[in-house]
Amino acid sequence: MLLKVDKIKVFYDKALILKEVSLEAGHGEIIALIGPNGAGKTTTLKTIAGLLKTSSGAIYLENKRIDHEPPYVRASMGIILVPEGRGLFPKMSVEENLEMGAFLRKDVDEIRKDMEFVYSLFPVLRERRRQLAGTLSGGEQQMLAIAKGLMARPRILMLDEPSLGLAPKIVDHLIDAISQINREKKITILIAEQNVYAALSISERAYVLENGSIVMSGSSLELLENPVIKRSYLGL
Amino acid sequence: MIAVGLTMIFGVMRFSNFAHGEFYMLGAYLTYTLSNYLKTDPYITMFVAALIVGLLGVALNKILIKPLYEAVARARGTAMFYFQDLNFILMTIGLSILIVDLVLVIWKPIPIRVYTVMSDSVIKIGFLSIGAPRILALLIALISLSTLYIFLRKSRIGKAIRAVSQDPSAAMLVGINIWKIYDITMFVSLTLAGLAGGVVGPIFNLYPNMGLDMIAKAFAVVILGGMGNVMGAIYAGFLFGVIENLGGLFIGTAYRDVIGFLIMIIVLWIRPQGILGR
Repeated sequence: MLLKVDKIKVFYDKALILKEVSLEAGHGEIIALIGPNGAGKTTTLKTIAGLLKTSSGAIYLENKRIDHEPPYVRASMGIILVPEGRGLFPKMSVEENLEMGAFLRKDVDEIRKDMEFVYSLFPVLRERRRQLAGTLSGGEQQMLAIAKGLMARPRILMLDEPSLGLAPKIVDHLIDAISQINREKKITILIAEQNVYAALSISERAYVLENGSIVMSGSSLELLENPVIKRSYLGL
Repeated sequence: MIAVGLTMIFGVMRFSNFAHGEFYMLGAYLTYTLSNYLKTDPYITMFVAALIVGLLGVALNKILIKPLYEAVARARGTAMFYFQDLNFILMTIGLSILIVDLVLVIWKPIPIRVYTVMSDSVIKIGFLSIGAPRILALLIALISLSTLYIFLRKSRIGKAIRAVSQDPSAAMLVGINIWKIYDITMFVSLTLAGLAGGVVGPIFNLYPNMGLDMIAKAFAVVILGGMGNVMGAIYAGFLFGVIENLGGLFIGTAYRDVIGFLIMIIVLWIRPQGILGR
């Protein structure tokens, strides 16, 4: 297992947000984390990235315990979060944001190559590379956020609600890009989504989070057919 | 220079350093003492003194600010927040009083004059004669501020500092060690404050309260330029100086300070985010 989250419990301002969450992600997998608003999806991802502390339980990256490391150390280990709200630097240009994504890397030639890759993935970013990130449209910002995450050469890329507030056409484009990243770069992806259909259609396995606990998990194909999921999330 | 350092600390850490003026004062006193002991001109020792003051800033960060941050974070139970807690303001005010009293004990309350080889040189531009120390002060300020500007724009660390000021969590997520950035920010801005003290030494007398007299003006300049806006602080600094002195000329030197703060109140009234904004 690349990433293993073992029974973590998380408080936020003295409120218990995650009661007991366990999940696993293997090399090269796409894992979806679905559930309603306020279920704890964002909290789970933030805790794996190190922005929030666990009060019990453990997180392992390739059997190495990491839940006491600060977020910048976890980033250097290859755990990269594209947060909700995108985590861009609004007063820096598109290209500077991509450079910041590769902050820890020294391999200049490889950074160039990766920049070419993300520009080919999202050509609109190349057109706007001198523009300030804060002036991009919502969809372009989300593309830049994913591209910036990729520039770190992550081992596991966590995406928090990439489809939030975007037009369906852009969502389709992003979903395609995400599976392309996974196919070509062999990067493990953990995606938290309220757009359950999109998340289940690109992922291999999924976890359903409700009220701070995992209530269901399994292969995405099976979950798509599951009557409970159909009724509560897909509106069928 | 003082206001630029102050605004930089605020911009990066959201931390209001009320002891900032004391580091300016320390820069001036250290320059004076180093010159006496080493028998070297203040225009050389002021750079050494400024670096010492900068290192004091790093020590301050490690010994006082970080433990207090961690204690407050634990008490609140959240991992991230800015340094806006009342504890930090009280801490810097306490530190300011402590430093002033220490200086009173070490250097005594009598004002001190700093002599340099430049003290008696006068430079004539047309019909104006200006003392060389004043010209040098302007030059050193211009050079250090433009170096800072290029450092923040172009260097890897400078970009990391800007990233932290725009979004500290996002900066951590790309692997930036924010505590290292806070150390560098403290070092750079307190070195600037120390250097400002050194530069002012040959122009005015040194006295232990000089930092306290300066800090209110520095905050006024920071507010004028937009809290945390480095370029804004540079423009506002020039504007503030010109307005104060012109006002002093036309209305009377007794009202100099009144005019500067009046402008601040007017700007806060019509443009509360400062001239250039955040």
